[in-house]
Amino acid sequence: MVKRFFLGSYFFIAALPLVWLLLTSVKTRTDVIDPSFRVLPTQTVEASPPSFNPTTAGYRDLNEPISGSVHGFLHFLWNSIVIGLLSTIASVALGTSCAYGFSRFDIPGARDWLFFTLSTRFLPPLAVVVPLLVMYRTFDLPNTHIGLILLYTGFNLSLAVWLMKGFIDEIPKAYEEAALVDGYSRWQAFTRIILPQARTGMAVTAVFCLISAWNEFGFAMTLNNARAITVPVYFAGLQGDIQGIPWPRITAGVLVFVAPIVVFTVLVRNHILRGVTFGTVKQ
Amino acid sequence: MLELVDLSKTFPDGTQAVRGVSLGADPGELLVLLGPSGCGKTTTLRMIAGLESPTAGCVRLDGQEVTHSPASERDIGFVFQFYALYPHMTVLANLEFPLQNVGLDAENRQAAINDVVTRLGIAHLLDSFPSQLSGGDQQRIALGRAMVRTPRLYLMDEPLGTIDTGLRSDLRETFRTQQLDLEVTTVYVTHDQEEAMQLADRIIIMRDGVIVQEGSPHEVYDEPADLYVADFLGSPGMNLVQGRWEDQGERAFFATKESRISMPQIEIENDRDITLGVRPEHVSVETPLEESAAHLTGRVKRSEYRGDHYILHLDTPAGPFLVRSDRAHTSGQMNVRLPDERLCLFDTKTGRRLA
Amino acid sequence: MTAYGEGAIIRAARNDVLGRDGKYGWPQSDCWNSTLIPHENDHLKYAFVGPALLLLIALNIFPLFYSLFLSFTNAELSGGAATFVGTANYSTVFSTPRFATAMRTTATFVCLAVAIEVSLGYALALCFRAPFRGKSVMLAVLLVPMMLSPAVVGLYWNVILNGNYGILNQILGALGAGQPQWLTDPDLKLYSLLLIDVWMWTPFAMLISLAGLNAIPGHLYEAAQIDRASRWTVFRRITLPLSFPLVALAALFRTTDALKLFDQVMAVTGPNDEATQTLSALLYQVIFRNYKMGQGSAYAMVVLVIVIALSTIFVRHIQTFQTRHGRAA
Ligand SMILES: Nc1ncnc2c1ncn2[C@@H]1O[C@H](COP(=O)(O)OP(=O)(O)OP(=O)(O)O)[C@@H](O)[C@H]1O
Ligand SMILES: [Mg+2]
Repeated sequence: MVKRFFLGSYFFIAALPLVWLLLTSVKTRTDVIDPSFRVLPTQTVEASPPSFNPTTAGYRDLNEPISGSVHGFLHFLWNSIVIGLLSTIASVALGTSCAYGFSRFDIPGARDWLFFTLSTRFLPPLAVVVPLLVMYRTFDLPNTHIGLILLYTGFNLSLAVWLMKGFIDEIPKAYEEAALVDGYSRWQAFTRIILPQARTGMAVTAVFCLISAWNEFGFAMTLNNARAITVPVYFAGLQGDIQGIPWPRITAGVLVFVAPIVVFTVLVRNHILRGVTFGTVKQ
Repeated sequence: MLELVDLSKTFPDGTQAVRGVSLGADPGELLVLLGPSGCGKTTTLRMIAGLESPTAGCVRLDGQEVTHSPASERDIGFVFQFYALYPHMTVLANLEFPLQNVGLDAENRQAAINDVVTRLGIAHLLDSFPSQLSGGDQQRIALGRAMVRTPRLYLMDEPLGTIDTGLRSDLRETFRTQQLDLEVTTVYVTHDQEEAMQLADRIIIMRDGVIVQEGSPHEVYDEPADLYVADFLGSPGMNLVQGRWEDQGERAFFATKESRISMPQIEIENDRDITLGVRPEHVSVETPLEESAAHLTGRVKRSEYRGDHYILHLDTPAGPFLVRSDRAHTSGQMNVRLPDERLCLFDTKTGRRLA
Repeated sequence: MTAYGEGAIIRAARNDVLGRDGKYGWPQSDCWNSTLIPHENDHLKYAFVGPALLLLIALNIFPLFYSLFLSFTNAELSGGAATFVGTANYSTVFSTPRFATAMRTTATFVCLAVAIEVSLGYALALCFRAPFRGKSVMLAVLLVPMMLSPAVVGLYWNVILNGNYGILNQILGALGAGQPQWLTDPDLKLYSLLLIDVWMWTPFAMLISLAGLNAIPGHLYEAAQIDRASRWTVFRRITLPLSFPLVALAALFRTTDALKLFDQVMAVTGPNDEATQTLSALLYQVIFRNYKMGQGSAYAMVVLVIVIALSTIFVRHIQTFQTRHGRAA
């Protein structure tokens, strides 16, 4: 009974911000900054607290540039999509082949390499960004999509290698061995036998890489100030301007931005534990 | 055709799975590797296939050294202990996979597949996925996948290990027929001695990573090289009675604590510890008895019904003793004649066969 | 064939084979005791692991050394010539109060965040053990926050925490609990960040704790029941110790992550707010607002020493965790 109550109240409190997000996106700006409690959407004209008149204006004006910025939301969303997708493809590809190597071959110092891979994840972006910036300037990479794609690929490799290693370890070696004795090369065995069987693992890994590239902020903000700005950087940049912020439009944008993440989370729900613990804990 | 010379494998963890195995197979010959679980059969097979690197020794195929060449260059058909059917492919795709990189055109591939499909009777399974099939069916497909090509060598790792007895001998025959038709040299691993006897041109008995005996089914059954083989082959195994050799000049005896059995003259030093072995089916229940013949007297404790025969459990002064008989005997004393030509004598200490 | 004993058998077998009327015709060969040559060619395995590891080295190891080098110079963000300044940057790091403040702020945040998230998460996991209707939906909803972008979450929480119209204060007002200024009161700002972090990451600790709890074999509880152990004893002697390794794992994950806290700071209070300036925010301020790249690198090196020390502990834990659970790393 106590448990029920505790669980119920936590759930209520935790879900509230999500619900409020939804409500804010369908209010007018005046209603958002109205200190009186407005929670119930209603159709009646001139609704008074606790009701408000829902509107889709936030979604309609989604792409209007805010306070002097040249581009609208969709521009930044496009940057996020391009950078997220391409870096995800690259990390999953590199991570899968690396994980396969560690899973199937005797590689000197394998254990140390794997933990080196994992530990790259712990470095705070701000602590390594200076030399990266210098390197990037040398190669003309700041402010480019490719610069961030490269960086996110590397950043997500720890995740991709560890997750994929867990998945590939679960595929019995006998399958490749059967292909090897049937006259296929190691590479063919990898592409024709392992990859098809690792599909679920690759999909799960891709989702987690995409989420972390999609959400990344530290590097995106410091290596960029013009052309390849992603959504989190764009949103966080609005912070100084709280009073003037068109909240309905922003929250509509936030919802559009997080919707794919929520969908993907639901798709990989059986593997979430594995994903967030780098494959060290299996369900 | 296939030659193994002093082949050894020590795993990185120190396990000596195979220790100096040497053997050879003639073209078209079917060798059976027989031995208890963990004796190194699979490891030997994997080294022949190129899936494991030997730590010493060498492997030759057609006179050509292949010890360290990749598995894919050896042209071998392998059936794994646990099927290893590709779970993401249908049965048909599984059967087709080994043919796809050997440069056959579609028509010939189809013909090869049709051939095994009819031989194994798996036409109705072609569109299913391995996970939808029973163990027996999966085993058949695994067999089919190896048989669909005509490789230089078949390696079979307990290919029928999980199938019911009836189907099992059917499949065994199917495979043997095809193997004889195609004259493909085969190394067949099993721990089922009956299967070994049924299939083998030559049986190789392994134990603890070492070959203990090698020979035709006839040889290994009738002339076991040591106590281990004597006990391991046959069901039930050989009767083994411990005793002492008494050489009295013109006559020799095998003496246990309570009995003395007269023996033919053999060059064995007096007083040596000897184990006498004789198979239950080679002794005969006889009354009356020739005085001079080797015999044992015992009391029947129990008759075990085996369908077409009985196994009598006897209590003799020399210890428990089994006799195969056509009739049941419920009780009473009986004489058992031990035919000279069927007796095996082993040195008790070393286990080696003396005569 | 009567030989027995290893050596004899091998010899016998070989003679037997060799002696068969030359049927096998061994060519005399030097293959005996050949050294262990893996028959897979060596280049292949490095082709599999190489690209990923090279990228990781390029993006991590090289920058570390370069950062070390920069920390002894007075390099500026804008470029231009940098000169060697010895350990001057490190003296600055250890003499400026704001580094000590940032350390204290970060430590406070990490300790509170980890303690609250792990204990609250563990408590929730205990409630989630038994099956009930709607459990999976509830779990799914709870897991959403940790999948969201911290920067975006930070921005959005401005709406919730706003002193005038924020929903939190509307509720507190209704309860008669006053109107704390979450975003502007220097004493509360850090706790606002903490609140956001707890909202996002408690379910994470819960998820891992739940895995730990579910892995406890049921027969232990049956045995305890037969022994008539009290519920508290059962919890203290079975539940807690057996789920501890995973709870520790959750705590370590959260520690290394909370240590990096930056995104929410930027989105809620900005990098130069004294009350919430974490180490990462300080680094940002020094490098990108004061343009002092050399000095920033010195700060970064000190931060890295701390992070690497902590992550080593983490890695050790994962290693023992994995060996104990029987999976090779
Ligand atoms: N990869 C390995 N690492 C370490 N030891 C191994 C490895 N593979 C096998 N062994 C050990 O080597 C010995 C021989 O194994 P092998 O699989 O060849 O036996 P087997 O005769 O095929 O037995 P079974 O009838 O059970 O299949 C066993 O003791 C086994 O534990
Ligand atoms: Mg085996």
